[in-house]
Amino acid sequence: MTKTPSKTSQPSTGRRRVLTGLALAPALAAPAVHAQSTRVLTLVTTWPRGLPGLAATPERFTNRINTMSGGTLKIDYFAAGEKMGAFDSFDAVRQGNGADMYHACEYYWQGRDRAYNFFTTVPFGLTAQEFSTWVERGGGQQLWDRLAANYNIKGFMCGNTGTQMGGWYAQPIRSLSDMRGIRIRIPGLAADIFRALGAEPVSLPGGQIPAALFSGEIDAVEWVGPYNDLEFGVHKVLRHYMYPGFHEPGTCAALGINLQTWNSLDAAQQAMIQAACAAENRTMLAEYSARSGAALNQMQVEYGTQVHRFADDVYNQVAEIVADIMSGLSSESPQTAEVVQSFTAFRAQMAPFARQMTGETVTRRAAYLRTRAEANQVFDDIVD
Amino acid sequence: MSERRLSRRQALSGQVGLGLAGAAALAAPNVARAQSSRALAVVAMDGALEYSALLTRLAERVALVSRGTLRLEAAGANAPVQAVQTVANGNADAALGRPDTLMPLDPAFGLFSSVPFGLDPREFEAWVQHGGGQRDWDDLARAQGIKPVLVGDFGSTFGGWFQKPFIARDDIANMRIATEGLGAVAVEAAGAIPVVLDGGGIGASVSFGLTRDMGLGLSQAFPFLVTPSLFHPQRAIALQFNASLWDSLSEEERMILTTCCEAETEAMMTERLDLEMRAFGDLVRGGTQSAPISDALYAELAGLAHDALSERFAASPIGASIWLNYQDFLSKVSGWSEVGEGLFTVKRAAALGM
Repeated sequence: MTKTPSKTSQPSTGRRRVLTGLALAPALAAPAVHAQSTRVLTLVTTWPRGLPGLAATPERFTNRINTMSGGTLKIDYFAAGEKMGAFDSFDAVRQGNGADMYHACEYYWQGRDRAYNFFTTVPFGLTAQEFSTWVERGGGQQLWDRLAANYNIKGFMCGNTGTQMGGWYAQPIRSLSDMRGIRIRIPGLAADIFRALGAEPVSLPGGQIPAALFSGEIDAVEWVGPYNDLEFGVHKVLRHYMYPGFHEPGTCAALGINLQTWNSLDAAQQAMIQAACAAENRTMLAEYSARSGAALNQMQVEYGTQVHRFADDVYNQVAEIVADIMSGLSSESPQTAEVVQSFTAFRAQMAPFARQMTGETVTRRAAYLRTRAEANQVFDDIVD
Repeated sequence: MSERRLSRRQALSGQVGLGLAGAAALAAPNVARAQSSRALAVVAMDGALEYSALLTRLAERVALVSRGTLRLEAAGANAPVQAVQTVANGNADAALGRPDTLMPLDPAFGLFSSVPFGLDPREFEAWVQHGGGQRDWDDLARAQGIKPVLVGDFGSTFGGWFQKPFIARDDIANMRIATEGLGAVAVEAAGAIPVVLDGGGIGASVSFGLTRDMGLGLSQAFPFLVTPSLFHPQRAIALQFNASLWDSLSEEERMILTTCCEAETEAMMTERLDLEMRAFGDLVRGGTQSAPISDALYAELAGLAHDALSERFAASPIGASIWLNYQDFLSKVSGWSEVGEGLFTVKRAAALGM
């Protein structure tokens, strides 16, 4: 073996040959060519093709699988509307009819079981990393598996938007009464909050939001956050953007796969899907974390968007409404009650730690950076 | 590396291109895959148990995903710089450890593990994946003959352990404070004396993570846990491959390695957050007093650290450039982190009475 002292030297060619078997090739007669059939799985999504973040995630997932498998496992990817309607994906995967997998938010299926909300996000729930920790370490995955098995599906975390903004409105929300009478696009359990406040919540797939907004069918919108909202042009219709969002603190995008299909995959194929989902769970969050600030900046500077912070009393009153909603959910079924109990117990452990670690650190750092000349000055424009 | 290992790896090695004629006879739609069996020797950059567990999990995942054609094999441990030089020289394939332990090679390596008052793990990944950080990291590492891939993070840590609340900078003047990495630069800039933990006679210590702090006896020795995070907002871990080896890997092999490394980052982050959350609860119930520093002191310490770090990185041309990029991204991501996760966690706790 040749040892070269230079730290920038190339690896020993001779050693590399030995390790990869090139030099010994003629002596190693064992065939290294494996003939494996190609397994093709159809992936449908609830996102329009090309949508930053949400649609980019299943596209990257597809590329990861198709590349890692060397052609033995192939994902055929279809965006919303290309093979079926966005909200048709659940039944298609459940029945194994036209699709093997979906990429979606599980709270879209709350009409089947309200417990599905807890596997996307719930108001005053968990941030992205907290949610992943509950799922992986706090018993969440087991509860999710039991719920999804009722529908012949196996679910995985496969992306997260991070904490979302609190929605777009024609006027700033100064008190709860300001929400009365508005027709707002908002999914999941947050819709129950707005209904309790006298608003009219509407659930629409993302791709239908711009048309509904521009036609006047809805007069307020909660979509994702600056990165996606800018893409949809929400700022062209509505001027007032509220924060921080209380309704979706860490919105998980899920990969749901037909349970029989999942069980029929071999260990390597299952490991590929699990690894790609876990990787995308980080990559999508990284994308939103990197892009959202610039998008919000652009909205404020170029389009005159006004950003307002929810008053503390609004936040606290909404929290009371959410507690009532959670209590009601627990009475719906023993399975839902078990999910609610697990989730809220984990949150009770996490919230005091997160306030001091994440909350205090991030807010103090931002205040400090605002005082520095090189800090992003746009956030000085935020109206409290 | 022992001759025995080489012999074993010779036997493990497969071959590209053998038997193609036979494969061609296989009926479509079967995929004829010419698979080389490649074993990569990974040396730990120190003997930390966390590295051993991390490498074991990563190796199992890589072997499973690749159907055994790509394997990571533990090849002992060495001091960080020596481990990386072993890799650069081609006598191992990758080194596993914290990039900031490579600061003797270039201080800019500290920017890829933990920067006082800097990015947290989520933000760091955003910088690396979508903010140009990986490109900067690659440029820095290429000069040392290595290619870095993020594979984990120990997570955020609180400010540290003190005998009394940290009210003013005078409280730590000339105090021996245990720290590591770039934390030492910030501690020194604040007027204290940075020392390694096993040096003895310390007046305070940064937090190395609550679970580790408890094992080290810090929580027993000091009653006050100073908050929030100050000197170590993250502790990233990387797998540093031989650069030429990395370039020689197939697209399939690189995708397997990067995807599995990202998956392990996810696993480690959830594990660490779970452990730290539980440790925090145990400590509070056990009588540890949380002692938040004032906004003014935070700003003073952050400003001093910034100036000292700027001076440190100015000594390295590439370091100065990367430091500017790091700060630019920090300034952009900081406001969003405050508007989103930061204020939510503060308001959530208040609304829930926690």
